[in-house]
Amino acid sequence: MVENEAAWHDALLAIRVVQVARYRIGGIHLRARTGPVRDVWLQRLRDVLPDAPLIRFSPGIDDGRLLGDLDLSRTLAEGRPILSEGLLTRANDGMIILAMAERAEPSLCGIIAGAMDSGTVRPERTGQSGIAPARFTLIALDEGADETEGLPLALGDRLALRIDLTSVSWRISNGDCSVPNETRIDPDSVTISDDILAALASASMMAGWQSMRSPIWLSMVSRIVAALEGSQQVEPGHAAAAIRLVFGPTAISETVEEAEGETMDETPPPPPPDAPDESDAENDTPTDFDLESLKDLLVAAEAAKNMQLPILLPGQAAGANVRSSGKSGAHKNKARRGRPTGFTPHAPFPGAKPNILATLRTAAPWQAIRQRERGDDAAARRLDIRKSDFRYRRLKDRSETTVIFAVDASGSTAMARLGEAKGAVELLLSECYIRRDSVAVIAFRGTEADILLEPTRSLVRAKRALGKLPGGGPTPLASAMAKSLELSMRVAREGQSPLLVLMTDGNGNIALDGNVDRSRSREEVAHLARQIAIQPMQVVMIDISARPREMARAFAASLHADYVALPRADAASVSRLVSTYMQAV
Amino acid sequence: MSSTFPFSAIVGQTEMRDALLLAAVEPTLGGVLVFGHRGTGKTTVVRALAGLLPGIDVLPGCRFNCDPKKQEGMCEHCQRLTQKGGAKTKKVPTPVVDLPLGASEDRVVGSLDLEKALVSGEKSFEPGLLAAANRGFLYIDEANLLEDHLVDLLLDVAASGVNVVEREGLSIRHAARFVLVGSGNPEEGELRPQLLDRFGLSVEVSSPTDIADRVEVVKRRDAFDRDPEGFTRKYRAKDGKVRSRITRAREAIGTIPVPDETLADAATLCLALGVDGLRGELTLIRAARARAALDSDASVTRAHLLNVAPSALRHRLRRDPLDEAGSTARIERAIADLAD
Repeated sequence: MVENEAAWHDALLAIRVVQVARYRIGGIHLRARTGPVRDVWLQRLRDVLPDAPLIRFSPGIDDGRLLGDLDLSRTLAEGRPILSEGLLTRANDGMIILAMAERAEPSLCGIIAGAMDSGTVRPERTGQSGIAPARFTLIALDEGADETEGLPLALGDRLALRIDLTSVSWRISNGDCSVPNETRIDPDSVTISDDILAALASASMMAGWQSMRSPIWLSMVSRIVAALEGSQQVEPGHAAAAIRLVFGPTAISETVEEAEGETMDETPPPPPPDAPDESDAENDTPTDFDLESLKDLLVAAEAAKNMQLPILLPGQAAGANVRSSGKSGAHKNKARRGRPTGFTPHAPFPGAKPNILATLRTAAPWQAIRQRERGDDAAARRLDIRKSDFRYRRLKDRSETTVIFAVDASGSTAMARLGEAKGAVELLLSECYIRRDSVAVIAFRGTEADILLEPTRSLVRAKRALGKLPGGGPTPLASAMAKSLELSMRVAREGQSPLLVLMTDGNGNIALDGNVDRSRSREEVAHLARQIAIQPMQVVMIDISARPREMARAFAASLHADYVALPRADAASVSRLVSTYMQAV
Repeated sequence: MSSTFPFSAIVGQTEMRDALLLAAVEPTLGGVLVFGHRGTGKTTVVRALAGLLPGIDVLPGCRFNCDPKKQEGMCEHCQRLTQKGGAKTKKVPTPVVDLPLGASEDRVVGSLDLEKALVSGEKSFEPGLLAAANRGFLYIDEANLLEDHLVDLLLDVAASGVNVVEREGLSIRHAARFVLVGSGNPEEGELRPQLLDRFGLSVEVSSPTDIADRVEVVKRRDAFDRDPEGFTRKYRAKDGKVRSRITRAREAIGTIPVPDETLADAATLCLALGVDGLRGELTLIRAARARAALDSDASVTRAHLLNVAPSALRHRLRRDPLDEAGSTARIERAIADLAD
């Protein structure tokens, strides 16, 4: 496919840009699964910078190892403080490959982002004077499974380039992939016209990437691309390539498809994204791009804002798809706070400090043995503590609750219900920031269910999302259950306890594929009910039909859910009811 | 980066810049809360301001940034040096300390140096971030995601100016006077109202939406990246003017009177907006006085008061789930009423 090859060429172009700009462009957000394609790409990257230090680590890393810390085992062995060099310092003038970047915790992101902003690190324990240089290019390997997993914003915003290798096949990457070695390239001497600068500035705004870093990246990358082609000034073609590299191939290619549909009448369809083929532009192939075509790209960028799909793009205006941090897989048994539950020989989280009493207690019985082993009478009275003696206090945290409302917005339930559900969500949220719980809303009507509000604690966001909730139409109950199940599993994976609140009369008539098929819908509902029933979560069904029927009660039973009939459900009583369940979770 | 972006080269962000200047002149205001999206220049503004401030004198080897002129609250090290006499003070830049999100309480307040204790049996105190931030700025990105108890602790220390550590057999007291700057994105979670109220000023920032402004930002950033020294030199005179304004304002602020009618205005405004507690009123007056000092005016007038009112009161209004209009709009209404 042409698409694939374009993505691969862009990926190779990104390597050349990095080779020229190094740490000045922050780095690359690489979305790809582990595999030969990614390996080939990484090898190419290595080839162009063979002498630069290359450090690779994954998010589980200890803060001390990142920044430099006391080397505990060597310190104890030699009886004097020995400092280890931090990985960020060792990566100075080179590259850092952060594997599984989508799982990076906010604290890790904070440390890396701080080093990227200042170009220095301050080791934790060497006092105030120990500032070490740390300028590096960050290659964030994002292996996120779907759009719910992605690079934490704090990092994504600081990386200039986004490439996606998920659609690149092994055959393509195995083909021509030599990257020319650029030595004498000076992007600083390239000039950029105000027209193009203005176009780039508006492109970043139209794409919904609010941050001022995006136009800065765009201008810098445009100049580098121009310099790579031997041009002394930025042409629209270079700017278009920069938009592709900075916004990510996913964003632009989807954008273009979308724009083709939307802008057919007013503007000519924008050119395919792979039109200017920079990667084999050694012979100065004249680009057939002009300012007019660049404007088309901008129209496309504007369309991207409306569809919220480009998962690589950081800082979407609404922030709906991009989470502040990759908490994927964070389990609460490694809590940093909470009530103590015994001791463990392994540090429960990076940077945990050993508990003195427990450590001494573990070390005590060994003293005589170790003394004999040493056979050293002079040091007989010194306490001999080894690394294996360290004990850490394990903490258990009350995990946070996420209430998922699945609200029937179809014609079979009165429109008023919607208002009550909205009211209940707002009431709950106003209490939530005390308890640090969050709320999500799934609404179902018409052909399928929609996640109207991603789990949030923010009243501001909830209000905006719920403001546009429509009502009426048939009841896609099966779809609603599928979405609820999906969301609750995701919530559980993030280490929170889901509480599912279904507000419906239990009467669906739309099958999962969106067709009106009562019998199939019933089958699917029964199947999904079994799946929900085996999930370790609390489910509450609030029957909101005017005359509660036996059928709804049976439906609740099949879900192993508590059944509450609230024919006159008002916001306050729903909120009260859910609060009681939240306390119990 | 070896040099920081010049303060006067920042495009727009007037309200945030003003709020930080006020806090630099009047540290008792109690911190600044900045709400806005990523990449709106929050960090750049804070660092730029710190780079512009006159810098602080410290004694060599001090880990707490003690003020050599103040005997009270000095750390042992500095007391020894002062008693011995003859120690030369050195000038260091105003510290700006970043508080990482995952920071443990130990790391923030300081704690027993455990490794040292285990290795050599020495009971020594390892200063935390609060000591490092003494007489400077403590910057928290995403304050709204920080653990509540940490925010609580920070605000306590910021208000009292003293950090007290009583634990693990250690008893340490050291000065920790800093301007707390918190930032965050309200869409990613909110701060509890109790905590909101304890920040002195709050501002809302967004990236410029005017294309010309955005182009100007890119151009200046670009020029700075290419030639940091040359760029900084270009803005040195302007930065110097701001610096002397701050120095002058710091000296003058003690002598500026607040007339009764301005006090009455403040009370009227707070009553009209239903601001709970006296803290709002107090901050409003202090901020207005700092404003007057910065403007080199002899007395605090209504104009000063109204100028700082949005920042000082915005986050103290009681949230009304039914009022769709933002807090800023409500304050503007109240200000218009006051003018009538």
